[in-house]
Amino acid sequence: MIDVKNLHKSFGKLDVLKGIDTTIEKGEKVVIIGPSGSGKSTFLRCLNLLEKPTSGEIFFEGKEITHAKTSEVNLLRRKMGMVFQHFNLFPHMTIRKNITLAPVKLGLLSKEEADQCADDLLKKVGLLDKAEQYPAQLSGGQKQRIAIVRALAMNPDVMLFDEPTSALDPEMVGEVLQLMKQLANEGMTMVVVTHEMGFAREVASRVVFMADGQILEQASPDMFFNHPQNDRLKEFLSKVL
Amino acid sequence: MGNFFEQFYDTFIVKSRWMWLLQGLGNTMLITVFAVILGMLLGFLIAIVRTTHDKTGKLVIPNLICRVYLTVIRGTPVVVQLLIIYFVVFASVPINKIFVAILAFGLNSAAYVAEIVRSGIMSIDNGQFEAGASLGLNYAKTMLFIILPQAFKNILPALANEFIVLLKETSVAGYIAIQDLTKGGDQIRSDTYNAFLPLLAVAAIYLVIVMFLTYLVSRLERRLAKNDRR
Amino acid sequence: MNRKTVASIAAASILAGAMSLTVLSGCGGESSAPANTVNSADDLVGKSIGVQLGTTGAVVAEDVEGATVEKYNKGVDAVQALKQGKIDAVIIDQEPAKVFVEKNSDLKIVEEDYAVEDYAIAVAKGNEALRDEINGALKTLKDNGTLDQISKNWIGDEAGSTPYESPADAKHDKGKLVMATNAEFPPYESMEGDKVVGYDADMMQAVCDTLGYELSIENMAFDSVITAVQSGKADVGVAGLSVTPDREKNVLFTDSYATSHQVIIVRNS
Repeated sequence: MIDVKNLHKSFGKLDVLKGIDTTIEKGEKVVIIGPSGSGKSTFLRCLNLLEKPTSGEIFFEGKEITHAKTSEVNLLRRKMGMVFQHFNLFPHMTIRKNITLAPVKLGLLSKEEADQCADDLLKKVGLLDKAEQYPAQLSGGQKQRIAIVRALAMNPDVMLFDEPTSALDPEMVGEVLQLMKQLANEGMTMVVVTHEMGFAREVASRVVFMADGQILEQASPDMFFNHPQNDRLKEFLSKVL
Repeated sequence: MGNFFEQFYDTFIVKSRWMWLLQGLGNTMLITVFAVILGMLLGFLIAIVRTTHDKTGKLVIPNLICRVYLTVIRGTPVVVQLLIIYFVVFASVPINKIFVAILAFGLNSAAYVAEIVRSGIMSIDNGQFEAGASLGLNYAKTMLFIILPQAFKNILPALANEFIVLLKETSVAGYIAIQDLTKGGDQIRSDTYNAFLPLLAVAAIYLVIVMFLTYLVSRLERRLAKNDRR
Repeated sequence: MNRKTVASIAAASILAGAMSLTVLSGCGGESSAPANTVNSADDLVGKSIGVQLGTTGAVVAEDVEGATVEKYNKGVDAVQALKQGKIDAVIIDQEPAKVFVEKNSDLKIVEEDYAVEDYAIAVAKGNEALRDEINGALKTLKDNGTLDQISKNWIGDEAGSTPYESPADAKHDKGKLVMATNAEFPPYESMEGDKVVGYDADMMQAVCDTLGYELSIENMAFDSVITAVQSGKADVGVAGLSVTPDREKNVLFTDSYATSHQVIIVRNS
C-alpha cells in the first residue's frame, strides 16, 4: 500500500531522515519505536506530506506522491487519517461539528449523512453524549478518542498515529489504546509512532526501530523484543523495558 | 445656573443649531461604518496574503505590495492621507466627499486591521493547520473554517479597539469640508463664539457612542467565549 | 533584513511617485477644471460654494437659495478646491481674496460687494476693563491718523510705503498682552519668517504702544482663537473677527477697527 524508497529529509543543515526504505502492506499494523530525535515522527509526517521530503520516493497505492500537485495531495490525505500527539481538535466547534466538518465541506457527505455517520462513530466509542459539547469540556483521553473518530469519519485506507498517548495523563492512556486495538482488530492498516511497548507487543504485525534517521531493525514483535539483533536496539530495550 | 440654561438655549436651540450636531453625527456614523467595512475586508485580505506567504512561501509579489502598502499607510498621518486623496488623487474631479472620507479612513484602517488579523492568525497553533490539512482540506478551507474563526475571537478586542480609534479619527474629516460631528460643533462655535458647550457636547456624544460600542463588543466576546468553558 | 531594505526602498519610491503625481495633477488640474458658471451673486443659486468656517462668508453663503455650502477649515483649502473644480465659487473677505487672486492667475474676483462687516477685537466676557482700555487706544489711534497709516501700508495701491514703527518713547511696563490670531488671513495676518505680520499685528502693536503693554502674538487654528480668549490663554483675539449678535452673547467686542466686505472668487475661464 505504501512504498518508501531512499527517503531523506533535512531541516536546514540538520539531516533528520537519512534514507528510509520500507513497505507497508494493506492490513499491516506497523509500530515505530525509537529514541526521541530518531526521526520517527518526521517519517510519519512525510507519509501524508505534512513534511515535504528532501529526496526519495513514496508510493501510495501505486502512485508516486512526493511530487504531486497540491490538489492531489489534498485528495490523498483524505485516504490517510492522522492522529496527533496534541489531538488538534477544533476548539471553536462542537464535537459533532469537529467530526463532520471535513466530510461536509469536501462535499463527500450531506450534512444529515455526516451527522448520522458522526453519531454512529460516537456511539461506537461511547461518547455520543458529548456530541454537542466543546473540546475544552472533555478529558484528554476523550479528546484523543474524538480525534480518532474525526479521522475515521473520512473513511481512510490507512491511519497514522503520531505518539497518540504521549500527552495524556497515565490513567487515560488505556482508553485510547483500547480503541486503537479495536481498530486493529477490524483490519485497519495502521502506522503508529509510540512509546507504548505493551501496545507494540500485543497489536503490531511488525515493529520498526528507528535511530539517527535510519531504520536499524524491523521484525515481528516476538523476534523484535525477545531476540533483538542490533546493538542500539538492545541498549534501547534494556532501558525502556 | 439660570445662566447655563440660557447659554444652552442660545447654543443649541436657537436657529436649530442642534441640527448641526445631528447631521454631523449622521455623517460621522456613515463614514465610520463604511470605512470599518472597507477596512475589515481589505485588512483580512492583506493579512491572508501575508500569512499565506509566511506559511507557504507563495504570493511573493502580492506580499511585497502589501508590505509597501502597510509601510506607507502606517508611516503617514491619516489627515495627510485624507488630503492627498481629496486634493491629489481626485484632483479636478468633482467627487462625493463622504466617499473620499470612507476611502481614506477605510484604506488607513485596513493597514492596522491587517496587522491585527495577521497576529491573530499567527497566534493559532500550527497543529490546527495540520489537522485541517490531514483531513484533506485545502489551505483556503482550512483558513476559512478553522483558523479565521479562532483568530477572530482572539483579536476581537483589538479589532473593536481599532473600530473605536477609527470612529474618533474621522473627526479630521472636516479638513475636506465634510460636516461631521466635530465640524458640527465647530460650526456652532463659530456661529456663537461659545467655545465650551459645543466642545463638551461633541465630546459627550463621542463618549456615549464609544461606550455603547464597548458594551456591544463585550457582549459579543461573552458569546464567543462560551466554547472556552471548562 | 534584505527584504526590509527592499520594502523601504519601494515605500520611498511610492512616496516619491505620489509627490510627482502632486506636481502633475497640479498642472493638469488647471486645464481640466470645468468652466466657470458664476458671473454675479445671482448666479450662486443652486451652486456649490466654498467658505472658511467661522467667517462671515460662511454665514452669508447659508442664505443663498439652493446652494451647497462647503465649509473648509482654512480659506486656502477652499481656494484649492475651487481651482480643482470641486466647488463653483468661494465667498471670502475682500482683502484675503485679493491676495489669493494675485497668487493664482486662474482665479478672479467677481466684482460684487457682498455683506459688509465690522472687524473688532474680541475680549473675554467680564473683562470690560480691558475692552474699555483698548477702545480708548483705538480712538486715539483713529484721531491721530496712525490707524489710517497702518491701513494704507497693508491695503491698497500704496502698500508697503508707510510701515508702522513703535514710537521711540513707547513704554511696555504694564506687562504682557497676549493676542491670539490665525496667521493665514493676509493682509490682516500672515507669517513672514517666524513672525506674524499684517494689519492686525501692526494695529495691536500700536494699541499696546499707546497703553504700555508688551505685545505677544500666538498663532493658532482659527477655530481656537475664541476658545483661547475665553479660557484666558490669550487676552485678546484679533483675526479679522466680525461682530454678530449671536457672538456678542459670549465675548466682548471692542469698537470696530476696520470694515471689510465679502467677495466672490471664481475660476478665470
